[in-house]
Amino acid sequence: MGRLFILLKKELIQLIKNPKMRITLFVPPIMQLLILGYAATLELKKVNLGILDFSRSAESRELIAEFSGSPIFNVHPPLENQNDLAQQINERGIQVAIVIPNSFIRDIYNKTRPDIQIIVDGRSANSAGLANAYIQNIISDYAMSKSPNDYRLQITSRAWYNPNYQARFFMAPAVLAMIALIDVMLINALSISKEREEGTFDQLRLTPVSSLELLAAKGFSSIMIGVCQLSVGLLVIRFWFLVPMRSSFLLLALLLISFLFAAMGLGLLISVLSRNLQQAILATFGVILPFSMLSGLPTPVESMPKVLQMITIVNPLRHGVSGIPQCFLEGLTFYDLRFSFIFLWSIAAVSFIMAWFYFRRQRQCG
Amino acid sequence: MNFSRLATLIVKEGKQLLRDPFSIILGILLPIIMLLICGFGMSTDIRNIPLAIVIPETSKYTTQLVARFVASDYFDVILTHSSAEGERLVKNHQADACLFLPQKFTQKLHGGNLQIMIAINASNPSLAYTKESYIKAVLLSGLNSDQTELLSGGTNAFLSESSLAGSILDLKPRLWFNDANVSAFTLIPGIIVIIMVVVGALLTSMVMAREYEQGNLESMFVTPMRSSEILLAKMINNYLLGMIGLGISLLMAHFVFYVPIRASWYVIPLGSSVFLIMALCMGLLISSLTKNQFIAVEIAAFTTFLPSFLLSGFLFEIKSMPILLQWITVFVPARYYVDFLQTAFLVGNVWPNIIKNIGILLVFAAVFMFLAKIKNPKNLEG
Repeated sequence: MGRLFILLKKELIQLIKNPKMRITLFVPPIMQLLILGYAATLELKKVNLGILDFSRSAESRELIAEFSGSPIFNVHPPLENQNDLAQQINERGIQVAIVIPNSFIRDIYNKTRPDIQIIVDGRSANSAGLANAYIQNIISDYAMSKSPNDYRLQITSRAWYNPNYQARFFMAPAVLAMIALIDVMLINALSISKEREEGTFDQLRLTPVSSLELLAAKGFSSIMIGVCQLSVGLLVIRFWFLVPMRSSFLLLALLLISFLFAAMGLGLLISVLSRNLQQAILATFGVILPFSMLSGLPTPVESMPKVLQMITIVNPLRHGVSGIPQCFLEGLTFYDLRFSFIFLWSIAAVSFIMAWFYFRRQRQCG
Repeated sequence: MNFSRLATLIVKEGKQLLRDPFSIILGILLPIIMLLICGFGMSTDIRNIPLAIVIPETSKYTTQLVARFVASDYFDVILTHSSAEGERLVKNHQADACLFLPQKFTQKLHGGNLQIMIAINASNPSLAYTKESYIKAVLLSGLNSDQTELLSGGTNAFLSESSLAGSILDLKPRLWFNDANVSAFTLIPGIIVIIMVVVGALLTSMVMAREYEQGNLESMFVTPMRSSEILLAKMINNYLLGMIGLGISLLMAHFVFYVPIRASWYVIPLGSSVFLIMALCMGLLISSLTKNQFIAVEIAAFTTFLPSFLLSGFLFEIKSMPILLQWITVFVPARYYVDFLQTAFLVGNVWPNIIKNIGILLVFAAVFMFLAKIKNPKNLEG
């Protein structure tokens, strides 16, 4: 234990002795968190809307006024014809266009659904769907207001855990998980490969310390850096983004530490298997890129094919991206997160043991 | 600039690359893996949403309403009779949302005053929002389209089978350039941006930082080589690697995932070259500022990879971001490249768009090149 402690101290000193390193480990990650936490928003604002009005009636003008009055849309001057519409969309002058047909007045008073065509720029599919939903709402509200009957259908919806659909409540914790993964994996990936690059690997061989102790010291030092980073990150999430904290702090801490250990194991394994620093770094990114694509942050895990969903179980970032925001927003218990814990610790254990195995063999026979 | 010297240097760099082919392998494998994941695995379309429906009493109308949800492949319906059970299902993550139908559903439907409540787990808000709009759309189209007939006494027509298919179609507008709304069409340009950034900025910053770290550059100081030659030789090899990656991505996108490439054949390579050169210059700048592999990679990851992932507009709409963030994205070169690629892939030769984006990328490239030249490796003070 004493030896481990001394080794740990040495590793930590080595990690933070370079002032540039100290800054790099703390300033960019926190800045990233502050910026990227805001990246996703669900509110659409100032969607450029073009209207091609064939009806040219008082009713169609009323409908257009509904759009002008909405903060979501920025209504452009009326479009001349189909060509004008096509050109404006091509050049991204407008993102959405609606075409009001000749039959508009007739449809409204016949209580049939007006055949309004909605055209959306398919280049940005995410916002296209949202804009469409807003347009449909405005049109059906308008059509309803014109129909004389008093039929009422009221749909109320309650968004549990996040009543206002605050996107940053999800984004900030998810981004923190991504940052922590990148940092902890990189520090570990560099640990052994750096010794090899600098030619100090032979010294490691001669050190009267067991391979397990050496790896543990390298790993734990990165975990300590990760814990410091996460602590600052959590303060930012809690007091800057004002994300509510509904589970116990202990559970969140446990989840984050399990996440760090999984990242550590994978990083160490990469480090032991790479022949030099460059390979280690490239391999780390070769792993981080698919991890982040399959984390559930860019597209939901549920939409992936079943086989791929199974594979994402070995992706620590998937557990981080789903578990950490849930831990904040829903009042979870240990039991709710049991699978995340099992998988994270399995990833950590398997990769650490493999790293240990290879490292021991390398120390013995080069 | 002496060309024979430059040629020698390029050969030397090429040999260095080939001796440790790991970066070449990665430069080729990474695009393949990323595109496979993106094309086969990623989709913004949500299906099979586990939905609990609470029906206090079974009647012909509730059965028809439930049938509507069951028939659409957007939902996996779990039926229950008590509200408490419905809530429990959502809390346990067995259902993502719960639809509460009121007591005396039939009576209220005829009375023309129907109140329906939806509870949804919004811990992932963007997903929840989409799911909610799907549920609402199925409800609304079901209840509204037959409203007239209902009022005129034709209650049998309520929730008619014929409008079943129509309910989902209502959700979708005409998407220009991507009629079928294939997620890969909109995601693959974003993936190419990430590949180019990683090969361009990350790899270059690492390779150069290594030279600094190992002190190789100091031995180059005493040679007659100029700093611009050293930089160029480094860049040309990584440029080739990046273009190979681009070629693989384009071929896969087109022939495996059938993403249309509607612009002329030279447009995408041209714009990508400009972006790649910009990324290479950025990598050079980062490495000469940090002179340490770990720090260089960290900085490259945080200034290039994450912003091009989250701030380039391929996942999240830039216009909807807070104003301050929109200003920050102005300085994210990937933003212009995403716009350029999306247009070149899906729309065609829109010259104003091409010229604007390539022009801005050229400005970025010039600025980074200038800065990298100031902080050049032959400058001993650094």
